[in-house]
Order: sequence, then C-alpha cells, then structure tokens
Amino acid sequence: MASDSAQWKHYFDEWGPSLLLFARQQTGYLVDAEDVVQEAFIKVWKTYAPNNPISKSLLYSAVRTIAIDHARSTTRRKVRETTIYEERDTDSDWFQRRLEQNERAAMLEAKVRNLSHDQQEVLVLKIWGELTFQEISETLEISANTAASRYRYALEHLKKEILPRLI
Amino acid sequence: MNLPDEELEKELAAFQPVQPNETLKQKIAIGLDQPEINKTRSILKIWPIIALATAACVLLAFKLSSPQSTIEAPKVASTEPSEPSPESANFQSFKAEQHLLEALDEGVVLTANNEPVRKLRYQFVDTVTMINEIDGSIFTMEIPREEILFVPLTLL
Repeated sequence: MASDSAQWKHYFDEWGPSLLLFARQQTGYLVDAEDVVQEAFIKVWKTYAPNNPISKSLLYSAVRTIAIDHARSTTRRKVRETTIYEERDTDSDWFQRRLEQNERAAMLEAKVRNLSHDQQEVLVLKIWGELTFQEISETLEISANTAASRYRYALEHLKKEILPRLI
Repeated sequence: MNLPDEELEKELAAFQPVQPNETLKQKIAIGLDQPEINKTRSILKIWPIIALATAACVLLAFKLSSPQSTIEAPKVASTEPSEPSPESANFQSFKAEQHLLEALDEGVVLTANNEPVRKLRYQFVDTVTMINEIDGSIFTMEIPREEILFVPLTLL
C-alpha cells in the first residue's frame, strides 16, 4: 500500500500541473478545475492502477468527461448563477511566474488564453500535456487530422499576434 | 518576418503550468485511501431509493395491467360526524374503482443529489360508490389523484 501511495504521488507530481491546466482550460474556474482533477485522478487510479499502467491520455480523457459533467450539473449552475460575484479564471495565473519574464512572454501567455476553446485545448494537450495527435484525438474524440489542423491554426494565430523573437 | 513553429513551440513549452496546491493532493490521498467505504456508502445511500422505485414499478405494472380493478373502499370514519344521522349510518361501501386518465413520461431530471432519475406522472380518478341499505339510494364520489414516480437511472 505504501508503494501504491508513493506511486500515485509520483504520477501526480509529474502530471498534476498539466492536468490542472487542462482542467482550468476546460472549466474556466480554478475551484472547479481542482474538483475535476481530484475526481478524475481518484476515478482513474481506483479503476486502473492496481493492475494496469496509467496513461496520460486516460487521465486527460477523464478530466474532460468530468469537466463536461460538472458543466451540466444543475446544482453547480444554480450556485454559479446566484453567486453575486465570481470572477472567471482570467486573472489568476495559468503559468508560474518567471523572474526573467519579459513583456513578450506576458503577451504570449495572454494570447494563448485568448485563443478559441477548440484551438486552446489542442495546444494545451500538445505543448503542456505532451500528447501525440493520436492521443489528443482520442482524448477530445476528434480525428487526428482535425487535432493537427487546430494545432496549426493555433500556432499561426499566435505567430500573427506576436513579433518574432529577436536574437 | 516569419517565426518558425519550432521556436514558438519552444517558447510556449518554457511556460510551466502552476503547481496544484497541497490541499488538492491531500484530498486525493483521502479519496484513494477510502475506496471501499465510499463505495459502501454510496450503495447504502441509494439502496432505499432503488427498493422504493422497484416496489413502485411493480405496483404500477400491476395497476396498468388492470386499469379498472376493484379495490377495497377507503374507510371514511374520520370524516364522519361523531353521531351519524340515521341516513348516513345506512350507507355501506359498495365498490371502489380507480381509472388511469393519463400517463406522462416527463423525461430525465436530476435530484438534489445530482442523480439522474426518470420522472413519470400518472393521473387517476378514484371513484367510491356507497349504497343505502334501506332505500337503495346510491352515493358516488370521485377523487382526482396524481402520482409522480422517480425511477433511478444508471449511467453506463
């Protein structure tokens, strides 16, 4: 049991940040994203971990499914609608602040967060989730070609918005 | 001037996602440490609902198979005056019927616990007929009644 405990912590330490990032991208709220990651991780681990290796794409799929369920939840929607003020997850950081972070980096991060939902989720899974297009296609239930084209559009969009790095 | 994809990807990859806080890790640890308890609790929690729904379905199926079945007349003693008049004392229940007017499937709804259930609405009219044993006069009353059943659904 102790080895199991160490094992899940190892996975969580390695994949937790990118899972949380993906959940934030899916839900739009940090609090919801944490709930989603918690539920997804426990569900996948209990279902598969004892006898099977855990894949990243499985965890991302679980995060996405649970995020959709959360969005559909009537109770949660009511709570959200009746909350006087709840700021959408736009001002809290998606990424760790870097000491050397310059204006360009800040702008690039802002542009990533302004991408369309479809392009953004593919970009998050590809860059920070480090999934292949095949894994992304399974996670998002789209074709690998669609995943690749959305990724290309996302990069093109970002390139238009920012100036090339001056070396 | 065009920026190569590889360079942009490298720049993006340099962003490190924010670390989950320690509370989230603790919540997961708790959730993973109590697998069987949670499972048992959830079964115990829904067991009464399943039992009630099953009983309701069996009863409903029986009722639907005999929509005008005769049932025992309800006792109306509590509504009678303490000293009944001679006429009312002679009335005896003759028969009681229930008629199914409408059965509506209102679709899947969520309970307060976010559990999906199918909502079924049935509208009946119960007819109770009483007869005066002395002069043979008949007294009939109709009572509209509505039943709403929630049948739990299992998501696969």
